[in-house]
Amino acid sequence: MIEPTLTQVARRDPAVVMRLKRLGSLHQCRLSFMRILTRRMAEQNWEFTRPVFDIDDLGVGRAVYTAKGPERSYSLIAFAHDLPADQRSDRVIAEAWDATFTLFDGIPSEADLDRLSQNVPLQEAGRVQETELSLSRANRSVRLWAHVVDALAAGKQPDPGMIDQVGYLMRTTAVYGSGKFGAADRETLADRDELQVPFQAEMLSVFLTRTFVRDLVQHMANVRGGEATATLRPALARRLGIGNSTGLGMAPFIINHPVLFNNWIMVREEAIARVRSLTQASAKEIAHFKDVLDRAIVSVAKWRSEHPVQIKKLETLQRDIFALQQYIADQELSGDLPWDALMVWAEDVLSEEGQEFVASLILEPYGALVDGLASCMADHYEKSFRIDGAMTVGALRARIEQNFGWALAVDWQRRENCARAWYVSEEKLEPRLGERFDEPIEEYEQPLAPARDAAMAHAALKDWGRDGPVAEFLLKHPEHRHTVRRAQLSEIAPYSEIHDNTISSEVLPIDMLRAKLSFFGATRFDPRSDRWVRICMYANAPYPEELTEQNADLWVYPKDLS
Amino acid sequence: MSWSLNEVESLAKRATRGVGYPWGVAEEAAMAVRWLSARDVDGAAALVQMLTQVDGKAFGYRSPEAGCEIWRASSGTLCPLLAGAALSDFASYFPEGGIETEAMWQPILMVPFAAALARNNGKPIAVLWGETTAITDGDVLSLQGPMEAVAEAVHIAPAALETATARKTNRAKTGPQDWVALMQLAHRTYAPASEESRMSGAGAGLCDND
Repeated sequence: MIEPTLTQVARRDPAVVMRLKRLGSLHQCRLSFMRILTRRMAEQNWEFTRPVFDIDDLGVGRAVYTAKGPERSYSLIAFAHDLPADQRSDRVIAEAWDATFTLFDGIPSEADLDRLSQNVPLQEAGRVQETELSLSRANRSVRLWAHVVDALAAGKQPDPGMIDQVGYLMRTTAVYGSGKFGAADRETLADRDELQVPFQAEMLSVFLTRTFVRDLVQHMANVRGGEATATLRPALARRLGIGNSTGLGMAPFIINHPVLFNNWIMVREEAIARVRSLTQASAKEIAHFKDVLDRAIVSVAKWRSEHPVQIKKLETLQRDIFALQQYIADQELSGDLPWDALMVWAEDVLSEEGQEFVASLILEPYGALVDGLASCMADHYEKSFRIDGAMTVGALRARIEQNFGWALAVDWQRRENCARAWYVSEEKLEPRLGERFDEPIEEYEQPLAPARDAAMAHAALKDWGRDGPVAEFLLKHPEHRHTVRRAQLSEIAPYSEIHDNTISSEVLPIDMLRAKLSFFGATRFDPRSDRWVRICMYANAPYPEELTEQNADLWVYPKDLS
Repeated sequence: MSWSLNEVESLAKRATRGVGYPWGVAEEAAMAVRWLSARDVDGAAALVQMLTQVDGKAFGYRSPEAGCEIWRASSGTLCPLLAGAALSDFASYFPEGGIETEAMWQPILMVPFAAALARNNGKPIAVLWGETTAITDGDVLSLQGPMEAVAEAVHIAPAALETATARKTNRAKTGPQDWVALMQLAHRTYAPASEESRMSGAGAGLCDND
């Protein structure tokens, strides 16, 4: 838990931060889970080996990549498959993939590999156990894969322009973690230092997956080209990230884990407030900021999307960056409270996309001030939370008004305000979003409209005396337990609720997906629709054998590559 | 075969919702089953038996009636989830002499709520029915006696916890029959497959050769 702010500049108001449009404009920062992982592995000198690489000429087989930390080892077990093109789907409903993976706790024996070879390729239809920490799969980018194999086999290097255009050779289409399909529960591992920060096992799995993919494409080129085959140049290989294709599953996650999501947002807000509260910036800090800004501009220039919403946001971001450069040239960041002044200016002049770009960037020179906050990003509280029935009805109503004051004035009967319903399909339990008034889905609706539910509870509470205990209300109205729990959790988790309507006809689920993915450290958000997004992870990161303390952090801002 | 605690929690939530309980109660049922499973008690088996008994009947009638000295349900048999929730909600008003209830389905499912009460009040609590005694300080569970599908009466009272050794596990050992029964109840929360849902609901195409 983070102590109440002692900074001169307060954290931003949840009513500002928790709007969907802003959450859908978040950028990665120093506190992103990938960067936390690579910094840790470099600092602790983790060792990486590839004890197994048993792939045949058709690209089918298995490989093991082991990462050895100070106390334990973790191994990515990869299975490569020969997937017919007509089966290549990124959806949950897919049943076969180009490659499948699990992160094993330790070093697997032959028997473990044989057991997992019977299960991991089946993904959701298979079983893993306590020794496995994740289950994932990936599909190829068909055109980039073919291009890289063809080029290397012909003794040439692939075209850097084409690599940048796609960004990855394979994209993961699900990375299942904690307890899924029999895997170890996160709670049983959270006392390990290296897994204390959220999603570290999943981020490690993806880091090693990227290495496997690089090795596999080289292997396939070698098979094709024989002795004439070129070796992929490390500088080109580094430009390759791992893609990720994400559907609606992540949107329920941030609503269903209100304290965890609060902790991520609150940690970032606390970091921003700490930096804004600095009275002066040193020449060295300003130089660091300018260097990172120049590099971030290079990354933004390479960010491509075909989706109209994102194209517009990128144009706006480009204009914002231009304005930002002007501001810095004029102001030199030399006045008092320079970072606060910059943020105040940004709030006035820039779009949300630009404001959040700036908010993430000002943290860069201040690792010593903000990196320690990473230890506050996990949640140990929610599972043991008990509704406080002694709270008065009046206090509960006030709490709901605090989070959802705007929602109480909404007419929830109007079609446009409740046009959508979140549901789970019986087809492989794929999470979906449907049209409430056009599809027979309402009876399957998931509790993912906290604002509407809060308005309903607030209305029901009107009939109860202000001074009576909530326990009496709940005895009569157990249908509001869900809302009362959330309202009470928000007392310690001010950033737990989205301050927008998640079932309106206007909702863009990609805003929720981006919010979560930005904390992973994702870049190049590329929506495929209003509810599907592709991203890139670890682009320009060092490979395991290249990892040093010098390159473990700022890889996300590559120097000009052209 | 064993299940992760997250698996058992997630399935318990959906199954409880599947027989018509509100989502908030389903979440608490799930937490209760997880709490028991982590203490090597097959909470999922108790839940599926209880849900099967009450399936098809309105849940409100199994809630404790307000204002009764001895807790009872208008349907005749209390639901341990609703009684448990009330026990936990009224923690600040817990009487020194404890609480008596009339008949209750699967009283073991009330024990995790008694644990929340014990944590809140800082004193161990005993849940007693038939030949069975369950005592918890909120973390450790000492359980003696048989599981019962229905108890004629339950007594919840402050107690001393003498067994200090915690029996904890990371895995749930629910049998395949009970698991399948829970899956069937959970299945009611899933929308039937349709071509329209398949095409538009996830917002992505079916083929991804790029």
